[in-house]
Amino acid sequence: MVPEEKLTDQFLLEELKKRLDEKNKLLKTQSDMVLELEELNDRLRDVERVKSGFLSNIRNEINNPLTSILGLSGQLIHGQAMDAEKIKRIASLINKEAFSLDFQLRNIFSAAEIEAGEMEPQSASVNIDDLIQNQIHYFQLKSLQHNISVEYQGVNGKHFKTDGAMLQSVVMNILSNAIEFSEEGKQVNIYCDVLGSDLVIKVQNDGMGIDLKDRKHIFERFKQLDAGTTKTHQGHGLGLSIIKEFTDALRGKIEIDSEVNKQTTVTIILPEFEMSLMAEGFSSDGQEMLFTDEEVL
Amino acid sequence: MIQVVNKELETSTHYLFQSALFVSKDSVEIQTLLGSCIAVCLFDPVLKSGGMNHYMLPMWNGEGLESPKYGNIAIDMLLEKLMRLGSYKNNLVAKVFGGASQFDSDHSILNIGERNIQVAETMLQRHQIRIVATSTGGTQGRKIAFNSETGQVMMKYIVKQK
Repeated sequence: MVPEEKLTDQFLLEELKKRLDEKNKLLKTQSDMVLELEELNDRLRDVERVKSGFLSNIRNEINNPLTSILGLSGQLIHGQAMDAEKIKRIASLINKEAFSLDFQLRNIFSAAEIEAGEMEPQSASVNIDDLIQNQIHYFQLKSLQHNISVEYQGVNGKHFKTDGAMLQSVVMNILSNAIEFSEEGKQVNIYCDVLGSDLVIKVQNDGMGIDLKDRKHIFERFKQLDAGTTKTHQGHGLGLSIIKEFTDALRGKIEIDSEVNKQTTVTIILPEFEMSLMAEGFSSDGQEMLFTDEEVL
Repeated sequence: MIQVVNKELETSTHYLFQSALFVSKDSVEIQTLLGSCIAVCLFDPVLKSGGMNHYMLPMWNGEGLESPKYGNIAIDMLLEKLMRLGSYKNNLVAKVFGGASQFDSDHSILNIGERNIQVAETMLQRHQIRIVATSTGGTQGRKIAFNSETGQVMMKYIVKQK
């Protein structure tokens, strides 16, 4: 505090200005916070709406294939004798429904694991070509139905240190989207490369694309851009949030490059996932601090 | 899961990943590495059990999955898990670590570390859980090891942040 006799007009003016500035700053912070709160409120309302949508959605996604599988297999068991061609047709319908169920359940379990905080990535040497080709094979029927061919450019059997199960889930969901949102008769291209110590996977398709303004929403859970009565695509929008969480857990990055109604490229860049740094014990070298109770630093 | 059993002390080690949480009734040393993330260790001196979370961002805002990647989710979940193991909220004490600011990051304006610390302090206060030890903020990363049976935490600064 300045002693009384030294108070000059100049000092008073400066002090006043300083206090006014502080007050303005506070007011600004306050109005920013109100804005933030309003935005949060809107989002929460959205979440509620999305959640109830998710329940009815997920019920359909699970019930519909199950009902079909039960009905179709019942036909095979109890129906009259039918020719091999018809049996094959029914079997392929059962396969399609079971596939869709399998896909949905994998994602639901992944999401449940993430939400329960039980994500524990394991580092192993993964044969990347095998992993991706397995996924292409997994989607063989789906791509056939959509008349899409999937081309793969691999890494010549190279191995890469990462969590195989997580990477598999990431590739599964990217590929599923690429096929689902491709134009019929087009090709999905997967390029894979190991650049330096990073694994780069690019998945490219020709289709509707993703508008720039929509791009930040696509990783939100349960969100599909074409939800509602015009919804033409399967799934309940868990896929992209799983891709994001698993890529984060493996300390990787996702890039999306898209032109509406032309081409979309999704790129995943993963560093090698090493456990050694984390698994090493807590060595005592004199630098450690001990926190028992009652010592707030 | 990395679980190394130390036969001399019969304490096993669990490495806790980001966005995960772990609680135990047995003697487990829970280790983790922190940059701007926060780990809240809750300890029940009566039951001699405890748990730890490791969150990356302060608040879940409805985007993405509702996971313990977010402080508000992670703290409530950790508390709930301990209470399911039989702890009473009144008995629990907390130790809070992490929340370093990363100056070299592009997002330094947001200062996630500081907001992460704030969430821990606010939420623990709301739950009326006492914070008995803390080392937060600064610019250095931390490595911590929390013993779920004694409640003790060993901490070391690490040079390279994650």
